[in-house]
Amino acid sequence: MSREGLTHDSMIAVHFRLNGQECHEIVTPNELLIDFIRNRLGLAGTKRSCDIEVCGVCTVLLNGKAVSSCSMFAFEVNGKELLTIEGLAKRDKLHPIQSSFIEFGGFQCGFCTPGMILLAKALLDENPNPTREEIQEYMDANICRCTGYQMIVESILDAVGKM
Amino acid sequence: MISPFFLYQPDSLEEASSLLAQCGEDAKILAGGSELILLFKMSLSHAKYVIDIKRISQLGHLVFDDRNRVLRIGALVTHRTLENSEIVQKHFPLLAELERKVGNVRIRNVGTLAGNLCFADPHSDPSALLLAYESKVRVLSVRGERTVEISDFFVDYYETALGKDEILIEIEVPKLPENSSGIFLRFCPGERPIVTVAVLMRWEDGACDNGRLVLGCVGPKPIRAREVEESLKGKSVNEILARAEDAGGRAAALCDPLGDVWGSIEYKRQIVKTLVSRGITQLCQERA
Repeated sequence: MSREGLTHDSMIAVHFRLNGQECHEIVTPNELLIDFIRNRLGLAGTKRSCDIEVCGVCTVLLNGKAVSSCSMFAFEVNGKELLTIEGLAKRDKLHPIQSSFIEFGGFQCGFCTPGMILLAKALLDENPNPTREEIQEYMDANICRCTGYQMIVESILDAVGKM
Repeated sequence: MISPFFLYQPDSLEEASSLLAQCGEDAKILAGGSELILLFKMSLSHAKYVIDIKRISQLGHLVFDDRNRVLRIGALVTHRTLENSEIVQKHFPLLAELERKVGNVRIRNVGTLAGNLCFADPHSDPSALLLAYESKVRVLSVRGERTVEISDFFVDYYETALGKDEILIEIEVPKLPENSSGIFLRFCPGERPIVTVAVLMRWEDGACDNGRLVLGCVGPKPIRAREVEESLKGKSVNEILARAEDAGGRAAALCDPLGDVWGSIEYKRQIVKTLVSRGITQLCQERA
């Protein structure tokens, strides 16, 4: 049985798209995606909190799907598209979800916000015209300690109209 | 910080099972990783070798086998795929509804049903319903393939009948006969369910011909409440309605929950009693 190409003992080359750009990096098998994003790519918008994929502050989009970067290996990005919060705005132009969150007070301390906004983007990409109930059910995945969630839902409803 | 490991990414079942046989107890299988990575992080598990099975195309299928009337769920199928699948929604609506409730959407995007079963967390959703459906799992090793009834698959807390060199490759869920109805209820104040109840009934001439009642999360493995099933057999809708609360009480006596932060033993028994009688009542009222 040939092990060539099947074994990675210390280093794995990953080729992926990061926020729309081609990216080539080297990761160790045990490296977590969140550490790769924050420490190696230097993108601190993705936060760490519960570390057990419950709270959702570490949410990033992998091939458009919301995943918990705290509980995923970095090598999983190979051949995929990774979107972090830094990749939403285009130069000075905010994404509609971001400007809605600002206008409607969808955040207070802001710690959960990157994950919340990315989760909202995943929702709206899957379901461009969700009902209030559908928004609540989907966004239930992420925790916010400040807002009481109401304004998060209102922000997303506003963003629906703009997208 | 997770301990370093060798990563294998085989692209065939033969490679994967061969690797597993060679590496033995030092190896862990990786699909979604939504349980495994937590175990690694908490140092409750470690591996010198991780065998990532996500490149094995033979494991990605989700099909309704019309001839045998079973749903075949490959090991790599995620909860999210199951919840959104038209096939599952059409033929197994209860399963689709259950899958929507597992964890949260981020977990469902990467976590697999197969991985959920292999982890055998007593506080999980799918096990009770799959037992009620009398599902089977197919497992593979270098020694060959075998099929295991799900009732035999769950052994104890976090323990299954999966051998050290075996990989779970498919879950088979038989479709219920046409005149069947079912309900799945859960009590889940936090992240993981504290009590689940699955009730399936087949109706013949206004009477319950084949009832199945499974209690989940209230013992080391899901509990098939056969005594309660027997007491409902052959009874009419109204007779069962009259017995619903009694059935709930008897089901509660059968379960074996642990007292913890989510409730005392007595509290969990009360929840079982409530959900069972509620489930039976609702099925009968739909039928009446």
